Amino acid sequence: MNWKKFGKELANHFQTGVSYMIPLVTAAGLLTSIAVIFGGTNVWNQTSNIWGNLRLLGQTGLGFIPVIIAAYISYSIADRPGLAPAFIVGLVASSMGTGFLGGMLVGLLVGYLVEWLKKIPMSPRLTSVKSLIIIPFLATLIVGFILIYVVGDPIKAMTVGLTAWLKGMSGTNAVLMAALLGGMMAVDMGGPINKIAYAFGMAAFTSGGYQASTAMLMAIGIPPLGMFLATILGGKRLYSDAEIESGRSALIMGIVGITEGTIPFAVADPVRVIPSIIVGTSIGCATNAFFGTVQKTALSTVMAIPFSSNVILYTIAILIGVVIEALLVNFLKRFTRHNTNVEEG
Amino acid sequence: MAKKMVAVTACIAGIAHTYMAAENLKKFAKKEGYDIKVETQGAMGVENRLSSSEIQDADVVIFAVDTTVQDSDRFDGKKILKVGTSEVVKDGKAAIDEAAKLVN
Repeated sequence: MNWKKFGKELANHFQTGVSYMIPLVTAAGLLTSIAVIFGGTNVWNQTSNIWGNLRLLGQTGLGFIPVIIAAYISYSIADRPGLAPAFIVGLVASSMGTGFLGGMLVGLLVGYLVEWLKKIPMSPRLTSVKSLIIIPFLATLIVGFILIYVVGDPIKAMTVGLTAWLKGMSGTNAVLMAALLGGMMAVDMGGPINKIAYAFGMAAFTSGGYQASTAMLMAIGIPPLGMFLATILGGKRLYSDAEIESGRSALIMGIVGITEGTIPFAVADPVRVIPSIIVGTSIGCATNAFFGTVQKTALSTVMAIPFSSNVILYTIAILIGVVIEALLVNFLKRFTRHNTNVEEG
Repeated sequence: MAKKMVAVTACIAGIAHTYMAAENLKKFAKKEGYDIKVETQGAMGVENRLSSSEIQDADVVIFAVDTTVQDSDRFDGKKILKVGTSEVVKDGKAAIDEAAKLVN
């Protein structure tokens, strides 16, 4: 077996799971956030008013994260027959409190088991029985029991431990983690590494690890906002007309929270842009962690400002990241050879 | 006769890389004189779905994907070049050239 190829396949399967999870997380995260912001802390155990019901919708969605992850990792590995068993066992994993990790493991186990069952030769008369009954039944039974009797408790213990560690994190560790998450969010602007940090931050968010989720969410908007500022400061001397135009859309993308707004700049000049956005974002997030500001919503950078524990310090941290990124990229563009007339890629 | 290519692009979030990779493939395929049709599998689901005759007629298939291609069994038996979306966004020409090599 070729391990490198297997690793790449595995990454593809995880990424497929995450790609199906993203709309779920944004919907559920926003609903929960709005409910808590307007309804206060007494929204949690009631559905007697609109905020309680909003919370119900959001919280149900968040509880579905392990299920969706399990189902679509399995779907990615084994195609359609992988879905049903992973939905069932994923829901059990979710109710056992095994979190994100449990969902991922269930997805892998169901996916590879189903893929293997599919390959077992059977007489043609039995193929319909195999796909309709044998595969879904066996896969659910086997992986379900593995989860319940073998791996469930250890994973739950790991999740609990990880959550406690995240919540208790302070000082240098918190700053380093924020810097790392910020850098990962920036480095490929919405690509696979960004999504690893995103998944980690959202997993922390759902279990109350707000320091990690604050850092990750803050990082989303800094790269495009920084490039917007850079085009304003650098003007036509450093940027082409098309890039200045991209700068304006980067402003909007930065505000609503789409890191991908930075891509046009990074494609045109990766050597100068990518290090700058990593440094700027990383420093911004680290500064915020140093201040100890958190926000308990799933909103990104700018939109989370009103809900942060300290509006002024939170805003300062964003600005520090944005300004450092803009100055650094313009400095690099100005003092190293750069031809603004180069046709893009 | 111009070589025919078909491609599928898909990234994780399905909002940016998917479409930029599609644009780049079209741009460089045209430059090199190939016919290309690109199916995108983004956040809005499958767009510009490739028909089975288009897949049948193609000399080579490019998967520019970070996730698993939906309904990939449509492409069974074809020559497939598999790359990541960001490689294609950075350097579309290399992907087209590499795909062309598979045909010869």
